[in-house]
Amino acid sequence: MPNRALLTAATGMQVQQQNVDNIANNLANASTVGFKRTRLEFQDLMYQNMRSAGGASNASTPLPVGLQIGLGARSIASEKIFIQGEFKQTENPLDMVIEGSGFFQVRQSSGDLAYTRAGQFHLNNQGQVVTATGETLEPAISIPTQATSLTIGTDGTVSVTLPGQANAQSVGQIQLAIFANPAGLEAQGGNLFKETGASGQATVGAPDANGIGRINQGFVEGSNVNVVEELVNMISAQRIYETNSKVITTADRMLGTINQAVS
Amino acid sequence: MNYGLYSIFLGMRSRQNTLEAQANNIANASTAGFKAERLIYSSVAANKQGSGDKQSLVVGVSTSSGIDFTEGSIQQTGRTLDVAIDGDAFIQIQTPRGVRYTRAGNLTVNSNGQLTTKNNDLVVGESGPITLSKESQLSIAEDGSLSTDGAVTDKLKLVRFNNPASALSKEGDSLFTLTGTEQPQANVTSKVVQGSLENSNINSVSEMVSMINNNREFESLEKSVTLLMNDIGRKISGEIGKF
Repeated sequence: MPNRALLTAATGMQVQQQNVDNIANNLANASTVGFKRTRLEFQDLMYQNMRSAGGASNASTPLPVGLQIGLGARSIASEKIFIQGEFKQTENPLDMVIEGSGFFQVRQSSGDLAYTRAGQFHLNNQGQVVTATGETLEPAISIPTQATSLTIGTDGTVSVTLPGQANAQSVGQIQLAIFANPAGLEAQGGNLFKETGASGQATVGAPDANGIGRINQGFVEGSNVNVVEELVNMISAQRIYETNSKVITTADRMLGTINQAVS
Repeated sequence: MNYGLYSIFLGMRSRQNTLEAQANNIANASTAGFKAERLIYSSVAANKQGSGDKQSLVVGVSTSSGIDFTEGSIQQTGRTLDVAIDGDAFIQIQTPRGVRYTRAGNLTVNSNGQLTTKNNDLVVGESGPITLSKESQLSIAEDGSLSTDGAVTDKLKLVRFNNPASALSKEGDSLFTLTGTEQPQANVTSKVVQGSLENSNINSVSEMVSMINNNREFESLEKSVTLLMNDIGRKISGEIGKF
């Protein structure tokens, strides 16, 4: 016998299970530099119209309300929340934060561009600026090995001082990418995001102009996960899961009652 | 016809429907902008018995659903494109199927830069769909005005109903559709709160209590079946015994 209440409660439990899975991932990344937390969003499923509102109960009186039974809930979106994380000072010359919107562009080994907020960069054996996993910063910037100091301006200009020279010398400018809908970016893991049809195409430009954020050297952006908030959400998800399981018990008890009545 | 058994059947069917509605409410305890469904019982009368004295016999109960439009609690999220409505207004949405209304303010931007719901249905402004230039600088005022860098660009279209419970019915996907005769009216008192979302208006304690109550009523009805069947059974065997 199909029982709507049982199936509906099952959708409710499934939604809360996914909710807890997502909270677990947020909490696991509470210390990941540049991590953006994800919020799972839910919607009600379709409704079964057993009697339509507005239908006629007789020739002159429309029914004021109908009978609609909903069929449960589903997860509709995992929304990346691009609120800024806390800035921590590190004094490391290749640590950068973006104050405002924008992403660093990095070139993956496959040749594709990826985007990141995690501004912890390093130098590879050829003096190129790379991420911790070796993707090169785009446009590529090389730091001469003999450079004695490295300065990155708020507009992304990278300049170095060479021994025996009084004036700093520019070696390139970091370009940042912004998107019409950053929430539409696809998280790839490894702190990287990929452009999708939903995010729109990247608009690339110099930092600190045209709505693109500015760069601050010597800082890293912490994860924007709020541990207390996640824990509160986890408790609430667990309780709602329990309540849904009570619906299953009740539906089962009602079916049991019927079976006893007809035996 | 045995009205007793039929009444009990109608009663049990109503309780079954009520449990289904409660299950849907509880399943949507985390759905932003969700409004609880309440089943309303009304009595069903049979034809008048006899002709002179107007005696009508109530034979049971039928159910209809009403939406409880009480406001849910407003939770702060800090996200630019989250809006909660403090008041009785709805956000007007343009779907390919026509105009719809929603209280779920977890909006987003599509790849064309248009303000949409999570299902890519367009949010309506003063003159059709709203196109945003820069998400991060967007601020939404209490009256729904959208401004970037201090310049007002558009305004969310907010509407209200005198009696939303009869004007609207649910379509799923957090949308309401017009079913009654009442036409939407301009918003008067509602305020838009940016960076917040309205939670589901489900109260899990009261849902649990009414679920237990509903279950007990169902059991009582089942007991009446047993009593009624025994009663009829005894009478019939008594009559047969006379022969």
